[in-house]
Amino acid sequence: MDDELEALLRDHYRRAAEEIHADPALLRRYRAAARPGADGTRTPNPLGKGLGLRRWALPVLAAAATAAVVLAAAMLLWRSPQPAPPQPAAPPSPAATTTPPPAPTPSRASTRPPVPESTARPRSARSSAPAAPDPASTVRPEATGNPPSERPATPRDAPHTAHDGSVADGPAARGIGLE
Amino acid sequence: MSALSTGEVRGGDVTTFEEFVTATAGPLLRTAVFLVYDRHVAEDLVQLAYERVARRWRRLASGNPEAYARKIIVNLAIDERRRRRDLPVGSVTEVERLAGTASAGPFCGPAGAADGELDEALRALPAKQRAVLVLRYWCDLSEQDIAETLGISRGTVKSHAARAMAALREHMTADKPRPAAKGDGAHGR
Repeated sequence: MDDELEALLRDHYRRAAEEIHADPALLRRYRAAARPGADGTRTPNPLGKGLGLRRWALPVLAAAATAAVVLAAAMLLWRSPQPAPPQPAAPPSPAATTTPPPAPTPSRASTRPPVPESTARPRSARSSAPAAPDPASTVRPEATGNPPSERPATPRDAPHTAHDGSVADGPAARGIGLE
Repeated sequence: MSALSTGEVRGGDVTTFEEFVTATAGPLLRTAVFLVYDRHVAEDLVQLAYERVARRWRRLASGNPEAYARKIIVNLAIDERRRRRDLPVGSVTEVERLAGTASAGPFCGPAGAADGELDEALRALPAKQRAVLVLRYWCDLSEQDIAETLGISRGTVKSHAARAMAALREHMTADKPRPAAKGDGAHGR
C-alpha cells in the first residue's frame, strides 16, 4: 500500500509541476527584488547597510568596552608591584655585619697570618668591628666562622683557643672568657 | 524525478545571481506551491528566499545555493501556515486568499479526480508532515537531507513521514467506495 501511495504521490507532484511555471514577469520581479547586493557588483541598499551596522554596532561596542576594562585592570595589576620601590639605601644594619663569608676556624687562624679577610669584607663593616665588641659575634658564634658543632663549647673553649694564642687576644674573646 | 525536475543547481554551475534565479525559479516555485498550496503566497516565499540568498551570494555561490534557498522556503512555509492559522477568521486577507485559491486553484489548471482527492488530503496535513512528503517525493531528498533542511532529527522525519502516509492512506480509503462493506454486514447478520 505504501509503495502504491508513494508512486501516486510522485505522479501527483510530477503532473502538478507541469502546470506551474515561473513566467518572465516573475523572473524579472525576483531579479529586481534580490538585486541590491547580489553579485557584490551593485550598490547595496543603504537602509539595509544601516540596519546591518546597527545590528553589529552593539556587540562590537560591548566587546570593545569589555576589552578596555579588562586591559585597564590588567595594567593596574601589573604595575602595582612596580611602584613600590625597593627600600631606600639605609645605613647598614648590625645584622649586615653578622653575615660575612665564613671566616677561617681558630685552629687555621693560628697557622695563618692575621686577617687576610680584609679584602673579602666591606671596609665599613670591618672598621666598625674593632671599635667595640660586636654583640652579634658573641651571640652567634657561627658568624665568626666557627662551625655549628662547636657552638655549645664556645664559652669554655675560648680559653683553649686563647692558649693557642691567636684569637684570644681580641677583646671579644676576652669578654667571652670573663663570662 | 524531483531532483532532476528541481534541477539542483550547484554553485559551480552558475556564475552570477541572475543565472541562478533563471535556473532555479521554476523548481523553487513548484516546491513552494506544493508546500503552501497557494500560488501567490508561494511566489512571495520564493522572493524572500532569493533576497536572503542574494545577501549571502558571495559565500553561497561556491556551495549549494539552491539547497539554501529551499531550506528558507520550507521553513517560511511552515511559519506561514502557522501565521495563517493565527489570522482571525473572516479577515480580509484570509477571505481574499481563500477566494483566490478557490477560483484559480494552486496549480492554475484542471486536476483529475484522483489528484483532487490527493490534493485535499495533502492540504489537510500539518505543515511539517506535508513538508516531509514534498521533500521526499518531489525533491527526492534523503531522510538525512530532509532532517537537515527542517532542522529536526532523522527519527522525527521518519515519524512525520509515517504519520503523513497513514493520514493519506486513511483519507484515500475513506473516499473509496467500499463494495465489501455490504458483505461484511451480511456476515455480521
